[in-house]
Amino acid sequence: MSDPEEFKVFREDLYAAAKVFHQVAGDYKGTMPNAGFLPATAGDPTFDNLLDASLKTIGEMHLILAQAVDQHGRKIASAADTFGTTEGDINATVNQVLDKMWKDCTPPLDTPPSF
Amino acid sequence: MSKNTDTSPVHNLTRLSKVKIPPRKTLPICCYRFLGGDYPALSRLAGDLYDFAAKCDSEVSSLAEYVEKLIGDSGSWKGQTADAFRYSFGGDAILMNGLAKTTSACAQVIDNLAYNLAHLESKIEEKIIEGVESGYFSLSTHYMMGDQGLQLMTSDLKAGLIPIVRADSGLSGKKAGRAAGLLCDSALASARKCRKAATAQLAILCEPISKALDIYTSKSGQQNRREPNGLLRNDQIANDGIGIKNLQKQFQTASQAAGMTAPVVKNAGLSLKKLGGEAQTIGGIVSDLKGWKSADFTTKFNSGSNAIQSIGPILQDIALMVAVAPK
Repeated sequence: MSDPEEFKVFREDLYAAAKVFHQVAGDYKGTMPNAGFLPATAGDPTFDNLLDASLKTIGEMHLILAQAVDQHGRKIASAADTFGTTEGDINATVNQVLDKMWKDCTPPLDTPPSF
Repeated sequence: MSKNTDTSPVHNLTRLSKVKIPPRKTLPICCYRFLGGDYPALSRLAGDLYDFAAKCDSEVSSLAEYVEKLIGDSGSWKGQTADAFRYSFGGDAILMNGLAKTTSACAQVIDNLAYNLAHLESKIEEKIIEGVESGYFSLSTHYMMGDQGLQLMTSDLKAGLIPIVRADSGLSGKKAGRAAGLLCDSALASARKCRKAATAQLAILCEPISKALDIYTSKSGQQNRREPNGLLRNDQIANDGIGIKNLQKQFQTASQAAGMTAPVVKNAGLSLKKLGGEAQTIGGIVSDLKGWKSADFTTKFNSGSNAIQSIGPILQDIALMVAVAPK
């Protein structure tokens, strides 16, 4: 990617992607009712307690994932910002810049997910 | 459109499976006072969870397709870092897909429980009315007939039914009373089975979510470590951390109270990622549980319905009395 015009388009794509991620994170978070899910009784305290804990667990996991999506967007935006400062130096390759952005959180691709 | 032909969602985000919402049954109309529980509210909750799961799945799918277009064959972002981003975000997309599918499965558990209890209750009320109309029981002040049919004013079915001695039918009042007692006991036992099965299903389904809650809450501090160790900001981690620990403890306590301390849950080699990325069905999800087979889970899923069937002979007793009654 040594063409300046191509470089500009790529950077705009990254900003657009960051915006999309932020938007989707908000929409995703908004799918949960504001007060969470209202538990209902099945006439058995054991089931009711587990249902209450399960609904809260689903709600919390949902919130955490919404945060994670938003953070992906922020990282993309940071990457695009970095491109902005290096635009004059086209010799700095895209991969060099992005590698720097992700090096503390990205494994070699042959490493399997750890979760 | 991406030409990525890889079928694994880890390498091709468009391959995430869709959440499937099964057809739902309408609850029978009855007074819902004998067995206990708010079945209409349970049914509404199941509907809300189905709706939530479908919306979440839609959000994840659209974002995954967007990323594939950005970094796919026709996109502007290519190379090792693009692949690394797909890999990084892809892990989260799979988690999101897993949460949606698990939520849908939980909704199914709750929906089945609501229907099974309501169905059981309606059958009991139906047979009481038949017994009363045929002259084998009279009802105490614990009962009244309202616009919605039979209204039970107490949870003590035995106290509400008064056997009538019918010399002309050949059936003694004692036998009629015993049948009523059996009906009561069997109904309650069947309801307990329904609830117990639903509790076990819910505990197993939500266990991986509970385990996954702290997936982003620690930072390794090591370089070349991929997310999740470090994806969230420090303030998010600080904000979530205490609440997550308390919630995990609450879930664990509730699960143990339900008797779910067996190795089946403890040793479950199941993760939320597995739920999202590869397992397609409830049976597939459970097939990875050590010590459990899919058939076991299916049995537990169906045991609610079986519990209803088990009351059949008792209902037949009542029906027999009704049938032999002189017109």
